[in-house]
Amino acid sequence: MPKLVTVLAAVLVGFAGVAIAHDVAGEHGREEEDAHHHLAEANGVRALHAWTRATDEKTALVFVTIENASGAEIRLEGAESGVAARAELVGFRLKDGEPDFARLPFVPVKPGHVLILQPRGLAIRLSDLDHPLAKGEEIELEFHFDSGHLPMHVQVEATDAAQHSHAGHQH
Amino acid sequence: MSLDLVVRDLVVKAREGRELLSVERLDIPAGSRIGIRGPSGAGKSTLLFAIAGLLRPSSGTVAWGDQRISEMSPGDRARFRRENVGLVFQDFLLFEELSALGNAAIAARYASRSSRRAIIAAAGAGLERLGLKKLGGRRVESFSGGERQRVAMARALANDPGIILADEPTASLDRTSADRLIEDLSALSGGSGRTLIAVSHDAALHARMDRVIDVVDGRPLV
Amino acid sequence: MVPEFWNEFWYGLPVTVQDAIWFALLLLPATLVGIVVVWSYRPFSLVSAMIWRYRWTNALFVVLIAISVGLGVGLIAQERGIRKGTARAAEKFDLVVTAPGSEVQMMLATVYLQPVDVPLLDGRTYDAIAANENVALAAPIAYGDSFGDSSVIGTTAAFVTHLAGDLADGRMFAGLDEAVVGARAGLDLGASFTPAHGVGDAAEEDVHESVSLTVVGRMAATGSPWDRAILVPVESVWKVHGLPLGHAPGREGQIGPPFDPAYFPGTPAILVRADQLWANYALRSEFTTERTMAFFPGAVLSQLHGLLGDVRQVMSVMAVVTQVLVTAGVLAGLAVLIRLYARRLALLRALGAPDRFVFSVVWTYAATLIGTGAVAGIAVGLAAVGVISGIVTARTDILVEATLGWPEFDLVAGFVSITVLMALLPAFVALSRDVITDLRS
Repeated sequence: MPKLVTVLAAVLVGFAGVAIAHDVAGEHGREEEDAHHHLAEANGVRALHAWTRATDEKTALVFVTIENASGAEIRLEGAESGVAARAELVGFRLKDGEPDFARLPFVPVKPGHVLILQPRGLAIRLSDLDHPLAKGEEIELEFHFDSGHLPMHVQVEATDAAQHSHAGHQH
Repeated sequence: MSLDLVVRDLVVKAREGRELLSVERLDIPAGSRIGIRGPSGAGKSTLLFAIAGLLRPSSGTVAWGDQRISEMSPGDRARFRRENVGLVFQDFLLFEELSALGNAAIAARYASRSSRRAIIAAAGAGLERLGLKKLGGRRVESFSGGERQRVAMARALANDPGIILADEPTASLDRTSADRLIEDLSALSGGSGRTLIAVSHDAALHARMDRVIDVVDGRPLV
Repeated sequence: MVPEFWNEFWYGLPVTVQDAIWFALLLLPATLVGIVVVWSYRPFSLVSAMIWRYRWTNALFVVLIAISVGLGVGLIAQERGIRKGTARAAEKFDLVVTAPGSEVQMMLATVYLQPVDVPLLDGRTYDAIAANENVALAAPIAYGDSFGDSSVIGTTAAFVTHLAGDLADGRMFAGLDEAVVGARAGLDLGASFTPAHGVGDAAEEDVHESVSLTVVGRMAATGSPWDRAILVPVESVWKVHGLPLGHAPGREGQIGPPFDPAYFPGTPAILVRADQLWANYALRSEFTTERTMAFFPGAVLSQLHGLLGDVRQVMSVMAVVTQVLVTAGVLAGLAVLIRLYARRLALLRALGAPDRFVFSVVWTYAATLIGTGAVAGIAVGLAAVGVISGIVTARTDILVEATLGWPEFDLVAGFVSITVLMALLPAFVALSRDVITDLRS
């Protein structure tokens, strides 16, 4: 049930434009596509609030919430992006006391379950970025599932961000 | 290289402006042995430092040959000293933790690469000439006063200077050592064309000099 | 912008080489100054003679520098050692499932044995986890009882082996009244004890009075608080609390899985291990429900380390500032100390030594004290780190093996470069002195 609410809210947000709420928040200039920016869906697989951090480095981690409403188990296998030479699925671990990310072949998501890519957990690692990422920018990214690809906009947040700036909003 | 000393209208003032030394005219031919004597505080040492180029006079001229050291920069005066002057002090001023040879050849540490060997050789020869050959490798901290002053002599000779300036060289020595040092000082100057100027209270020293200049109240009685 | 080829070159280098290059770069200012100042001169034996002349005074300065460097270096190394030690202690805890609550609190309870009162997970939950195709090991971790300083933990034999490998001594528990102890638990094989309900001051000793357990095995050291723990079959914990024993009637004597959900009284935590890293993430997603919370202790710990990271930066800055201040004090002292050498320096200048030579003598003297102090400081740091690590290990049971690494060496190199540049100051001061005044003093 809560997922249905989420979907309904997202659709509502799409229709209403919700420009008002975001104007109040003062965070974005491109409101017309806002809901579309933060939500992508294909074959019952939804990706919500994709984000990454501003950086001058060559790598960045992309986080997202993935909901599997498809009725079958799906596998998140990786991603691709025009701004990076490589995009791969990685998992956090402590290696000798230092944070480290290990490459993962895939992660399955059972039907009706949610997979959250978040700091100190799963992430899509972009390597060899072709330009530094600035806060407020958006980059294009395509998630790869065994069931198909899911293109999406990734919001670039502050360098020290811990979550998407719209997380908690009812999309 | 022997140089005649010419001093004209020399005035040296203390920092607060008091006049320490005033020399209207002083000529010392190269190769002379000169004693300087006078009461304490009369300005003997100041005269010595002035002709060594250790201080810049308020006015007047000090010239060794054609080198007017009174008008030189501190760096040029230092160069003049390391090329032409050997200095001997009352309390030796040696590096206690260095060997006799290390002290005598101290100039090798800052000399140009090409002259280092010559300095060390001259320092060794000086020690030998002064009867310290056997002690050359030993630290000077165990040396007697006479031995120390002879090490200081060897140091003064290591750059084969045309001028030896000595400030009370015998004052810290017993009579026997003092007499021996006077002998050495006298033998190493004069006939060799090397000028010796020694400030001293020691009559025995002055007796061996070619000429003795009395300094009273900052003025040499010429 | 950094050119592409440089990036490729730099990141292509082995990490050790990168570290070594950094270290060399940090030392570079000191090295360059040294070369420029000393070029074409030979001040060294003169400097060692000067140092020897006032050796005790100089030794005091070296000791001051060494202590300040040692403390700074020790502090940073210690912080890293504690980070690594706590991480190592959590290494075996891939994924932990508990009732929903604070991840930090649950981690402290499960990994570091700082027990709290928490709701229990029921048999159905345990069964669902144990039956999952990706789960290689699902072990109940039932804490709450204690004996003396030791937590008494109910679990399974498989977990004991997972935690510490083969037993160092004795054999695995095989009955309700048997126990395996951690390497530092202080109970000998064959010893008997009665667990108390609760832990520490709150322990109620008489509750389980009728129960007596015997130690039959000892685990190898793990470098974690588990070294002080006593591990018993989870059925034993249920038994002393008068609960069902996890197995259907007729199988009451069984120790270990499979458990019957209908007779499973509950456990505060379940350790879950998958053979594949990816499977852990899938399991986490699956076990995050309204009634269960699944978390990675490593990630929670890393978050705590992240908080400490800010403290660490402050600490590093403080360490550097302290050292620079101490050195500023030392250099001021040096400027005074130079007076001791004033006559010898004046003599050199009277003999006609170039100012640059006298400058090089004074600077080399100061740089020697600083360099010696820095190297001695590394030794002091090593000693301090050894002592503090021992104390931390003894008090927390978390094995802390702090060693000096590149960050510390970089700190020392930076320190040497800064202070050696600062040492140019007393060298200038020495040159400004009046030769004749010093000769006559």
